[in-house]
Parts: sequence; C-alpha cells; structure tokens
Amino acid sequence: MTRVDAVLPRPPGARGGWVGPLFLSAGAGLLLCSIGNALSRATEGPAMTLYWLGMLVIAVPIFYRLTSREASTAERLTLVCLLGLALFGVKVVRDAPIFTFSDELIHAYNANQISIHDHLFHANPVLKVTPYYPGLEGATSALMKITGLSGYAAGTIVVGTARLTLVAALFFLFLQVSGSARTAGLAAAIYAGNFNFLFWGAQFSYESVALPLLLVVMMVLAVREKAPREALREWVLPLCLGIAAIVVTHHLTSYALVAVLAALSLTIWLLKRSWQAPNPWPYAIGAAVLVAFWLVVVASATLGYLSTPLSNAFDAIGNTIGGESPPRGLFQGNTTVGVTPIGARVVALGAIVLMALALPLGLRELWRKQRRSPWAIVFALASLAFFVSLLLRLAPAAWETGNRASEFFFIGLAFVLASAGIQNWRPGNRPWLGRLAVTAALAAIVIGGAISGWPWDSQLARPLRIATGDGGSIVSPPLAMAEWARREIPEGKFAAQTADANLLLDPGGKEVATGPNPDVEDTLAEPALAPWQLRMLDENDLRYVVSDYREVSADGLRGYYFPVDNGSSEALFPTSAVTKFGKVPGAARVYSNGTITVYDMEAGR
Amino acid sequence: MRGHHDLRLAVTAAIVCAVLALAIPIEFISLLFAAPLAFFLPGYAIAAATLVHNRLTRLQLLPLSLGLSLATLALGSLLLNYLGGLLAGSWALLLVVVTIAAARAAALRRPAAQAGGLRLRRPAAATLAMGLAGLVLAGGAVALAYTPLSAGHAIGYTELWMQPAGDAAVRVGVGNQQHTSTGYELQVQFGRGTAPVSRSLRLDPGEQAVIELPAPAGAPSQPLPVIATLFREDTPGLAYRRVNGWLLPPGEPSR
Repeated sequence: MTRVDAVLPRPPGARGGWVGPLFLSAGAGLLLCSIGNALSRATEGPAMTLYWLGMLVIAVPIFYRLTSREASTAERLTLVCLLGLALFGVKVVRDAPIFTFSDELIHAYNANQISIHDHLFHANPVLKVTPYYPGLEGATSALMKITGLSGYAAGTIVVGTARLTLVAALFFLFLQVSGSARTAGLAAAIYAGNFNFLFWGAQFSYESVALPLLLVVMMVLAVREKAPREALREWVLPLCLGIAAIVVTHHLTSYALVAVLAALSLTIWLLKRSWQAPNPWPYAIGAAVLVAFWLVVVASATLGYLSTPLSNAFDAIGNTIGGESPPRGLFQGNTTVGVTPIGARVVALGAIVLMALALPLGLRELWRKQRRSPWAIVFALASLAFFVSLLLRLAPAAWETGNRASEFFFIGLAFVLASAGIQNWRPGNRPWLGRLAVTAALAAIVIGGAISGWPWDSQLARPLRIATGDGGSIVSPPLAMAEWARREIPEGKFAAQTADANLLLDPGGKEVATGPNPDVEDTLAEPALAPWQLRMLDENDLRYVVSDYREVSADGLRGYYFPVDNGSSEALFPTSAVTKFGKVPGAARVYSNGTITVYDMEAGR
Repeated sequence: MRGHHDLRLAVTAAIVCAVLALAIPIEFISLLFAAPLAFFLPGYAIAAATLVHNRLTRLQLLPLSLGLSLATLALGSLLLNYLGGLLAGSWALLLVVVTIAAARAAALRRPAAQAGGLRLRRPAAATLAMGLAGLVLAGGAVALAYTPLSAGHAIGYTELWMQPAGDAAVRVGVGNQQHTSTGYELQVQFGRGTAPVSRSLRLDPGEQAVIELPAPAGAPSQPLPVIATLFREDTPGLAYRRVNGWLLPPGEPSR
C-alpha cells in the first residue's frame, strides 16, 4: 500500500514548522470569539465584530500555511486538526455550560435516560426515532458512567473527538486520492466552509458522530483500493465495524453510506469492467441489507419520520417550478426573526460564486490527471450535485432537505476545488500573492458557509444564566420553569411549545409533548380552548400545560433566553391564549414567572 | 506480547486507565484516564490486530484508531444492553477486554520483528511553548464561556409556585430572579372569604424560599381552593404573581 506520509519529503530542520505560532493564533482567535459571545451574553457590543475577527484569526493563518509548498504532511495534518477543533471550540464557547440547540436537548434526554436506567431504547417523547439510533448516546453514556461527568460535558467530549476524527479522516481520504498532502490539506480546510460545519455538524446530535464514521469508512476504502491483493481481507473487520456503527447511529448517514458504496462500486466497474476486489460491491450490498434490517426491525418509526419532510420537499419543488408557490427568499430560517445584514449576504453569496468559478478549473484538472480514478469521479459528481442541492433552497419545504444533503456533497466539492491548483498561481512571478489570494478566498468560503448555515441573529450566545451584583446568578424564565419542574413535579406529562418542551426534556428530565402531533402547538396558541383540545390533553395524559406568552417559545433555536430590554417589543400570544386553561374546571395555576404559567389540569379532580 | 512494545503499552494503559478512571472520584481527573480508554486504545488494538500486512503510517493510525474506538463505543452499547446493562464497571471491562483481545490477536499475527508505531516525534521547545500558550488561551476562552456575566438589559422576574403538601397543607415557593435583592409579601388564602395567611420575605438574586403552610381548618371535607398571591415590597397594593390550587379531602384519589 502507499506510504502516504512519504509523498512529500520533510524539509530539513522543519521540526513543527508553523505549528507553534498557529496554535497560539488559534487560541487567540478562540478567545476573541469567546469574548464576543461573552459581550453578547452581557447584552453589550461590539460582540459580532469580535466574533468574526476571532474566526478570521483562527482560520486565516492556517489557510496561508496550508497553501505553502514547504509544510510537511504531519504539519498539514496537525493544522487541519487544529482548524477543526478550534472551530468546534467556537461552538462550545457559544453554548457552555448547557446545550441550547433543539436537537441537542432531545439527544441529551436520551443520554440521561440511558444513564439513569442503564439500558438503551427508552422512549423519547419529542423525537420518537432518536432512541432507535443509540450510537451517540451509547458512547456518551460510557463516559458519563465511567467518569461521572454530566451529559453536557460527556457529550461535548464525544462530539469533539468525532470532530477530530472527521478532519483527520478527511485529510487522509483526500491524500490517498490526490497523492498530494498540499491538496489534501487545502481540501480538508475547504470542507470547513460547508454550511453545517460550524454549528449544525458540531452539535450533540447523532449525525455529528455518524458523519465522521462515514469519512473513516471512506478513508479505509481509499487506502484499501491501493492495498496489495493478498492483504485485502484484512480490511473486512474495520469496514464492517465502521458500517455497523453508522447504521446504529444515524439514519440519513447510513443511507449516504449505501449511496457512496454503490456509487464507488459502479464507478470502479465502469472504469475497470470488474467486480473483483477491491471493488467494494459486497460492502454496498451488506450495508444496504443492514440498513434495511435496522429500519424494518428496530427503527420502523423512521419511515414516517423521513417520508413526510421528503414528500413535502418534492411537493414544494413541484409547486415552485410550476409557479403555484413563490420561491423561498434566501437567508431565511424557519422563522422570520432576525435579518442578515447586506454585507454578510454579500460574503455568503460571494463564497458560492467563488466556488462556482473554481469548480470548472477543478473538474478540468481532474479530467486531465485523474479521470481513471473512481474516487475522483465520485467526488466530481458530488461537486455538481452540491450546486443542484443549492437550488432546493429556493423551494420553501425543500430547504432543509437541500441543506442536509449539501454537507455530504461538499466532501466532493472540497476535493474538486482543492484540485483546481489555484494555490500554484504566481501573478507577476510572486507566489505569495497567489497564496494570499487563495487564503482570502478560503476565508470567504468558511465565513460565507458559517453565515449561510446558521441564522445571523443566532451566531452568538444570548443571556441564559447571568450573574448578579452579589455574586449569585439568575436564569432565564424557560430554564427556571424547567428547573422547577425537575425539582417539584415528580411525575406527570407536560404539554409545551418547542423551546419550553426541549428544556423540560433536559435539564427538566420530564416527559413532554410538543408540536403538531398531538396538536399541542395549536392548543397552546389559539385564543380559546375547543372541546377536542381538552380531550386531546386527557387522552394523551398531558396533566401539565406550559402556557407561554412569548411567540418565540415555539422557536427551538431562540426560545430559551432572557427577554432583553432593547427598545423593541417581543411578539406575544394573545392574553386569552395563555389564560384560557385557568378557566377549565379543576385546573390550577401551579407555577408562574410572568411570561410562563404552568397549569395542572387535574389539580382539583 | 513479547517484542511488541506498542501492544504491551496499549494493554497496560488500558488496564491502568480503567482502574484509575473508575477509582478517582473527581470527574475531570477521571476523564484524563477514561478518554484514552474510550477513544483510542480499543481502536488502536483493533487496527493492529487486523492490518498486519497493511502497515499504516503513524499518522494514518490517528483517525483509524479514533474511528474504530467510536465504533466500539457505539456497538458496545448494544452489546452491553443485552449483557446486564450499561454500567460503569461493564463499560470499563468491555473496553479493556476489547483492547487485550485485539492486542493479543495482533501479537499472534504480527511478525516478531515488526515494530509498532505509537512513538511520535518530539516537537521543538519553542513549538511546544507556543502550543501550550495556545492551549492556555483556549482554556481561557472556555472558562469565560462557563462564567455567568451580568446582563443589564436582560429583564428580571420572580417565580411563584404552589403544590399540595399532604392533606392539609401547601408548599409555596418564591424564586427571586431579579437583578437585585427584593422584598415580597406573600398571602395565601384557604377557601373563599377567609382571611389570608401572610408572610414577608426578602430574597437575594437567585435565592428561593419554600414555605409550608398548614390549612387553618385542617384537612378539608370537600375540595378546598387555595390561592397564593405575591406582592412586591415596592408596589404593595398591586398583586404581582398569583397561583392557585386545591386541597382534596383525605383519601380522594388525585390522578
């Protein structure tokens, strides 16, 4: 097999290269990001400026060094890992010391249930499929059990380890395919520009572990392809372990795994007209069978969970193309809260334009040098699919499908862009100028990806637990309600809007219903209570109803924080929507903190 | 495992890490030992056991060891689920057994002369110093993130709650989530038209008071409405929070 770290010779005397100074700059950048978040939590400015400056201080020096010819393979790997971990740190300093993303609180509940009961597969009342993919929570529970760490600390360490695995595997995958450590380093750095890298892919959620495992499997397949024929069987166990772990960890990633294996098998057959090893078709079949088995036997609820958004996405595409519904405006999340400034939009769109401009150059280089490489062909197809997935962002209900697909396609796009060879550009025989230009483009791609992938108004932390003058601390109204529920309500199910429900899961540790099925969201938001809604509460054993004045309580991203006196008024539900439960005979208003009231619907019965 | 320094080291490290991680009650010190046991050693041993003729470089071992360790954790949880449960001891035992078994298999399969690959090149002193400085800055960033800060524009509030405490009393809680120390007057009325029971409170920010108040007439013979009203010291005539509940007759089942 290829001894990949011998591809580029280590320059004499380059012990560590720029690693030391770049560790320092990454640490300084992370500190700037943390100060930016701290200012935002303290409701002071200029938080956003410091935050983006910190991002640049982390990324730009690493990018510049990665464009050089001198760095060794080990140094490039170190820098890529440093970039991945430092950007993961940006997410950590936004949220510590508790999870604040909607999916995180759902998975934290699962991890806590495993830790409490010592067994898997305890029901999750909000996202029912999650307990049936227990890879992440199982791994987290190992750390919780052995060390006694909280779910937050253990989960953050597991996801951080997965992030390190991701960037290292990505580097070796690209190195194996390109044969160039320089291309591999740049491609791995470009991958940090995928929309979901900074926040979505760094959250405590099953995909954050499954995607790194997928990249390890891809790396192993790439190494295996160049292994001696007599040694091919040695890869069976690592591949089977990786495939099985992905299948039990995340549904979408397991489907992506089957797609990658199938695409690679077919490409190898097309190029070599051979099904002989190293064609990985047996792994493609095996993975498909395992995925189908898990889906049918263990996680059958996944079919309904995935089919609804997918069919909605197809309907939305048809409606948008047919002109029956208007296209979705860019830079809109699921809510209308928060507007992305024009400058940020320019950066985000500019990043996509830069990638689109470099794509033909990369494809041309691959055609010239690697058109007999199955991986290069798969990556080229994925890079084209990425731009198709961008079109899905224009159809309202297809936005999320396009966004989720893009992070898989971005693997191919990153490789194609790094293969374009722009880093070799020497304007006026000044190579440093070319390297500066590439560094600036990389910075735009990473910053643009961060802007595109996460709402502008949610890039920074908000006040959740704040200090008071006497050395004490106070917490936001929804968090206080959830902590009260954990302390004071030993049993009984809750009905709540999304953000309140997520906090009732973790740290509340309560069973809770939210969303449209059963129709809790309308029951809470409407000004009057219909008889069927009372029946629905009764039939679902929803004894406690959390009634929240704030419309943002229905927002799983923004609904956890203190209200802020910033001159603009917060959108509220009508008073009757909040107080109507108090008129039900036998109901009692057992908790109130001004914005949030909890009713015990059976107190007088 | 004679002649295989890396495998012997991996097995020894797994046993020592498992014992110390379980024995040390301080979470973050325990983590120092649990992390290599969970995230590196099983994967390294599995890679060593399987890839005898496919010698990987030291660098390639990093993602493979991490990835196979994560896979071991994900699949190990399924195994333990059906073998007595995911307990601290069973997790540590599983990870040690996987490491020992895989290292033993590697030792049997690997030629004696084939050296293992755990050794890494020592960085230059200046690199090490700057790397450590970078880690200190990153540690400062995380420490700052963990530190609650004052937020003058965040709007404070007060919590009030009430729950029955047995058949003839209620527990009333007041939580001060205001920025400053605040005085309150709590009035609790048992039944309609009765005089309320009053209590004065002064709470610091973040402080809570839970008061158990017995019903003046004892356990009710029929459902008795109870209303708790909170007044702030600075606005005494204005009801600030109100909650209510019921005391049910003894023996009446509450669902």
